[in-house]
Amino acid sequence: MLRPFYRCLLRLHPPAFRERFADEMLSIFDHSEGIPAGVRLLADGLLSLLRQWTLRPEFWHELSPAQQPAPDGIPSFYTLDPFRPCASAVVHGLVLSTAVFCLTGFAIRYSWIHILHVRIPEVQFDSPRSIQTNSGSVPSASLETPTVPTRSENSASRDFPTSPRSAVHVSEPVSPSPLAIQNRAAQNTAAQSPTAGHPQSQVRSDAPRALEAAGRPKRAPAPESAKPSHLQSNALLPLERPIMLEPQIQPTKAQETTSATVLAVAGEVKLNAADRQRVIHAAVANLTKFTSIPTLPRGWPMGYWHTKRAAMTTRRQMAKSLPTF
Amino acid sequence: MKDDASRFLPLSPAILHILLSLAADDLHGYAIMQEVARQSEGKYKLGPGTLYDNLQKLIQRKFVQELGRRPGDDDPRRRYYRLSSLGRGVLTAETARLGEVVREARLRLRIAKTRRA
Repeated sequence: MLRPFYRCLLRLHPPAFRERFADEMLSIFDHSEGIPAGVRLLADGLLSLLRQWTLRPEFWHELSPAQQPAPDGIPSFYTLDPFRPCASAVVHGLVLSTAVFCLTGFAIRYSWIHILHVRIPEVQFDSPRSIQTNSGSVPSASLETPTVPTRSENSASRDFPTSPRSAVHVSEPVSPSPLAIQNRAAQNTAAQSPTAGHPQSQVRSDAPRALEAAGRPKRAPAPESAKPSHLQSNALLPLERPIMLEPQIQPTKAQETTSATVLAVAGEVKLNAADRQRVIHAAVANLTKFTSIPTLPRGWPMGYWHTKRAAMTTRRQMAKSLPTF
Repeated sequence: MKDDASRFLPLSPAILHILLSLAADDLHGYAIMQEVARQSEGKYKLGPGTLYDNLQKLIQRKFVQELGRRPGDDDPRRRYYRLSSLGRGVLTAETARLGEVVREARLRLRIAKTRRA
């Protein structure tokens, strides 16, 4: 009764083992007497099946006599049978490949050691103007953020005192974009035209261009309703004909703060007390960001929290030491 | 030869019993199982799966030679196996090692018995 089961178990063994020992194992089963002995042999065959498939991969396939080298060491010939991997090998490879892929992806995503810091640069529609500081030790925030496209024309008034360390020099771009050249030529044409100062034409210009315009003679300030804030306002430019406008980028809050910081440092904008306080806090945040803080080595689990806490403490202490307006 | 044999030591109990059973005569699988049970007085029984798994390893290591079927046997499916010279050397080295273990164990037990007395 148990013989068919035992025979099925033998047929499930690896081919090399089955061809070599299956007949003898079946012969031993035939010599056993009684059901307990048959059950014991059945259990032994099941264990043998697991052992052969898990612990004996070297015996799954044996070289055919034609593939074995000749006794004198020189192979006589090799068979050119098409190689076809067995189904079990394909399944094992599939499972192993999937496991390795998942583990690698999981390790990259959730590893403590972040080796892949890829910073994607932001898209700029106009060539950035380089802003250099006199000291050069503290990098300005405008160097890492794109230029804010708008500012008020009357922001050239220098109400905010400029310290020698924070004086800003605006240099000409090395290679301005064709769009900027076209826009600048249109502005020059409009300035030389007899109908200059037309109040209806309002064109947004970027902050560096407004800084450049600060060198020109001051015009009458725009009404308060036309400039909702000093962070985003319109520059009144006399134009005779419409010019091609640059792509409008809605500035983010961080960019607005950065622009306000730059303009305040340059003395280009008049700030009230609250805005001045905010600008100072933004400057302190930038200083803290670029100040070297002792950190634990990367990969150490508490290194990130140590760095974060030290930065917050430094920022809080510097904010407390600042005067309030 | 002794150095070559010592590379394979110590042997597992199953391999030791199989080599011991083949030391006297050429046997087939079922006879090896019966001989192992007789040598251990029924305390160690080999199943066919364990027997042929170890025989596979012994043939690959060239401790045992496969002789094939014998015409006059009552069951034509049986194959006979013979202990090779390398297998005999390994069995000799393992027996010597076990003899040293037994001698050391007897010495320690005798010393412990003297201290208790």
